[in-house]
Amino acid sequence: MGEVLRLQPRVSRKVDKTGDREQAPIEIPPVRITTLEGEVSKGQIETKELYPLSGEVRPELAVAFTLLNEGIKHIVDAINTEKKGDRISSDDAVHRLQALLPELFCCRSISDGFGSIISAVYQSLANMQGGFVNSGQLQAVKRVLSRIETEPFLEFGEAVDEIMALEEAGFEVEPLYYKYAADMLDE
Amino acid sequence: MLNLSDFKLTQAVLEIRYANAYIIWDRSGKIWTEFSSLWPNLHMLTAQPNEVLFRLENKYELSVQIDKAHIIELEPTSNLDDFMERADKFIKLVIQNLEIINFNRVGFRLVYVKGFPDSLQAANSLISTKMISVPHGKQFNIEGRISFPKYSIVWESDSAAARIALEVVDKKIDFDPPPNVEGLKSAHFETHELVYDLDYYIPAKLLPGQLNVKEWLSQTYHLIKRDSKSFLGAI
Repeated sequence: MGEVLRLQPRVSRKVDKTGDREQAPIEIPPVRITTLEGEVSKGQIETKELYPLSGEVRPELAVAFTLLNEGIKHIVDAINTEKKGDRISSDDAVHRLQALLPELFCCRSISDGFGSIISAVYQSLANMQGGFVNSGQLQAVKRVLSRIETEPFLEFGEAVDEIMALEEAGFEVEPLYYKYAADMLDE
Repeated sequence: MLNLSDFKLTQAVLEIRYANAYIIWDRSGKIWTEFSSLWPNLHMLTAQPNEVLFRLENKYELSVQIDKAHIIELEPTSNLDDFMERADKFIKLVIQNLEIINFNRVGFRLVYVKGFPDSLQAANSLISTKMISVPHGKQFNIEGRISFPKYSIVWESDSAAARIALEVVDKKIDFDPPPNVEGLKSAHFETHELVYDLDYYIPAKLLPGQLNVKEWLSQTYHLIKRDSKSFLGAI
């Protein structure tokens, strides 16, 4: 049987400190130099602060942050006006949000989770076919949009949980013709 | 004034820290089996309950511990493409298997080195950046000179921080093969280096869905290359 000799050079630093104990040779493997500072974790960071160059190098990410921010303002507006009983203004705000969704869908290369949530919100609102969106449904939309504003790189599996929450709020999250197609296939 | 292009990138590190993931005791074998199928040349260095350490092609070091995980590339390419690609896969598998719901800290560290014929030239090079102020003349009754200068600062905000260190390091390398091994010669030499060590990190909590490893590394690397001159004497 062959014998494997693993030989390592001895690497020592030329440090000469008074009172310093004799230094053990620095072994090359393992490297064990990782990152150092900052043991204490501060609060949550805003996602767009993590990617400050998105405007230049990943425009779809910068566009998504802007549009999501605007969309969430509209949905908050819709919730507030609905609370006051002003359903027309609430519906207007929902339409303003709806107008942003196709462009947001164009940013779906960000992640599978992002694309599937935007698609589900778009279909949810489109399938209302002009009907009023109730406060529970508005809250559900606000929640999923806030989630992808914070976590645009959401895994598809996690996005499915959010989409199911839309369904639980009473939305149809897929195009209505899917249902007819499924019925036809069943027959 | 020094320039980042004068230095050679010798090490790139990505590290994530998280709350104790006790599930590591159940999943360690699964994690490393998955890594081995991704990178068949993985070679185990240590395996203990709280930490497993592997090496890949004598170029990468991968470690998963109960509260942190890191990937290190030695002598990386200057565009870091391979590092980013592997780091992305590594972090995804760690998140998935350890069911991490929050990062406490994410850090990206680069170590650059510039060699000099002797430590005096290396020291003068650091002093020439004017990042540190040094006295002249006779001090402590010693007509001396500066040896092994070093400066280190942390530049931080609430959302990100960078620890920057510039240091002169002398290393002595001794290699003596055992007498019964033929064909190997002993080697003894010293190196005199100026080391630019930059640790860029997010000290805040992060959700896995906030972090796209490739995107974050790519943007951060660009920022490091763009702004390092300010810490190498261009102020």
